[in-house]
Amino acid sequence: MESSAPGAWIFRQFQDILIIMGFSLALAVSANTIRHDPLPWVAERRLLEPGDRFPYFPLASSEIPEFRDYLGLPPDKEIITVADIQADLLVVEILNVFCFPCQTQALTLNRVWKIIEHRPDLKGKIKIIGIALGNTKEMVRDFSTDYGLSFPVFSDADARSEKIIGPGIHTPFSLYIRRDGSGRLTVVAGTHSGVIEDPGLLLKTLTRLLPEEERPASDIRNGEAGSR
Amino acid sequence: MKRKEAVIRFSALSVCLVLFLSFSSHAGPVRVGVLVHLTGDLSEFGQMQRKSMMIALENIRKREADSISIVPVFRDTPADPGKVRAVVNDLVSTKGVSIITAGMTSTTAWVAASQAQSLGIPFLICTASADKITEQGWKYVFRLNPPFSEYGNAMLWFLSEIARPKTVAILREEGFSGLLSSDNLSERCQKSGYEIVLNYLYKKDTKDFEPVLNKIKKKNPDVIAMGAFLNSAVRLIRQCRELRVTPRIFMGLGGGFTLPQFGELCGNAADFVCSITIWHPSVPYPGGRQYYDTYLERYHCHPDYHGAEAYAAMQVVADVLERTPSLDPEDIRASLLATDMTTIIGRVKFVSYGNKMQQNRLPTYLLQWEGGRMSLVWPPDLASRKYVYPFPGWKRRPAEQE
Repeated sequence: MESSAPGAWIFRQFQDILIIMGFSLALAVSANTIRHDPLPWVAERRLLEPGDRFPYFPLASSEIPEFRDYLGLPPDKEIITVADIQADLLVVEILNVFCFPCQTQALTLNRVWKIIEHRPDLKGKIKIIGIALGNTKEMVRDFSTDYGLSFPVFSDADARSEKIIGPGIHTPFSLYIRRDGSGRLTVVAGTHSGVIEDPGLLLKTLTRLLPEEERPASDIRNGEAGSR
Repeated sequence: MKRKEAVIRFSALSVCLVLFLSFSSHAGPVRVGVLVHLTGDLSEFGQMQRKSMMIALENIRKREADSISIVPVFRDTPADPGKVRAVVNDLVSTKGVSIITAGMTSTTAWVAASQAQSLGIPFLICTASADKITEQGWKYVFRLNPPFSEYGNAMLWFLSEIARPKTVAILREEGFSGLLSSDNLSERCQKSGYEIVLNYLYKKDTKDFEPVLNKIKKKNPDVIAMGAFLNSAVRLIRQCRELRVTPRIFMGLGGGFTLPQFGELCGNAADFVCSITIWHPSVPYPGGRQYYDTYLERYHCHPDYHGAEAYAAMQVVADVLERTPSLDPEDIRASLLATDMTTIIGRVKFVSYGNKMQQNRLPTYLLQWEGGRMSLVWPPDLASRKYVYPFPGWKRRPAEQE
């Protein structure tokens, strides 16, 4: 008969349970360690502001296959984020497909998109995406078709925008994102709440937010360089 | 040389003559064709529209004494499509109208619009809502009111952005053709990811809703959407209180839920019940409340959105006729295209989007009852107070003497 210490006996009896408990504890500790700190603006109960860093916001590229080239996305990346998009300035339009001002804004953005795509000095530099707060993929598809939208709109059925952009966000809400030092789109250069109906005015705002070296020569000649 | 001079003189004279004719024809009274249902089942709406247009004309004349003189030529709209065409032809060829405006059903408006298009006469729709009417590429056809597919937008916006329900029950009265058909609502709810736990059509004379309300109570939906005329709307809400049916939101689809009598008859049971609408006197556009009060005082009944749309149509017609350089259909059409004004139902600007052409875009609204008053609570930029959501329950509201 083998003699053993009481500790070893207990360990043998409850070996499985103890292993599971230990594993769970390790998982919980690691999860806690890697969990992101709360976003500062969310902790402060405000929306993203110019100067903030646009956070990780996962988007499914499979929702917008026809726009992969437009956004310059890597061919096989399913989950993308704003920083993966190739542009000098990105308009992120938080909208709701049933919201009347958002529909008006979408029509303005469509016109701005067309102007940009026809201007060699802007094409590829400024891009536009929509994120539809509270709307399913199906509703977004219908909306894009009904309004003949030329830019991609992602569904945000789970309303992650509220957790990422900030609490109390109301549609339409526009964010203008610029490149950081490493060339990735992460810097919030501007925001706007509500509708801008005049495409010319919106385009002017956008070109002013471009990095100086990318700004159209006409804007610089007009003395608008450096304006924010 | 002489020949050249004669040609120039002749051209100059012709231009002067054309200008004179345009000016002279424009300076006198302008006949405007108005197609409404003055007899038959829909005469209640047609008469409301006729009276509303007359109030609009009075107000326009009062405000601008030197404004253009408009002579409305009202015509009853027959149900028979062949007769509708004949009425349009008569307005144009016999009565010499320069523009036609129409507050009629989609079926008749479709026929009248296609006839106006083939005659090349500007045609302004103010009530018919079938989406397809402004999707035909018809150059002379303009629409003031929103298309049917957009009627429920304020509700769906509120639900998707604020309420985020999981389940919806739909109750609908037979014959009710309010602002959103149950098929349309059901389809849009499903596309929005909401489960329809019950879609029930009840008979018009239903007095006892207890069996269906008990079913609903068991399923405990987040939203109860109801399409009902006044009497049923009142009965439904009273019986919901008796049975303590407590969804997160009661949503009326227009009809009885937006009538002042609903609040009077339900008492405090009406509190926090919501309804969609496409116009209400509390909508903050200039002249809306004044129109409502004038109508109520003069005719002792409440005008609804049909009347307001007709009033707005006359505001647009007057504005267009003031701006048009001549009564040539092309000039009137160009003036319609350039319209950008505020009417009692909101801003009017005819735009193209998706498949639609020359379609005005208007917001729709969510109203909520509280303390016997109906207030605009959505969209937030036009709201007169903040919405109460979720429905706070019946506890602190004892049944009143009924």
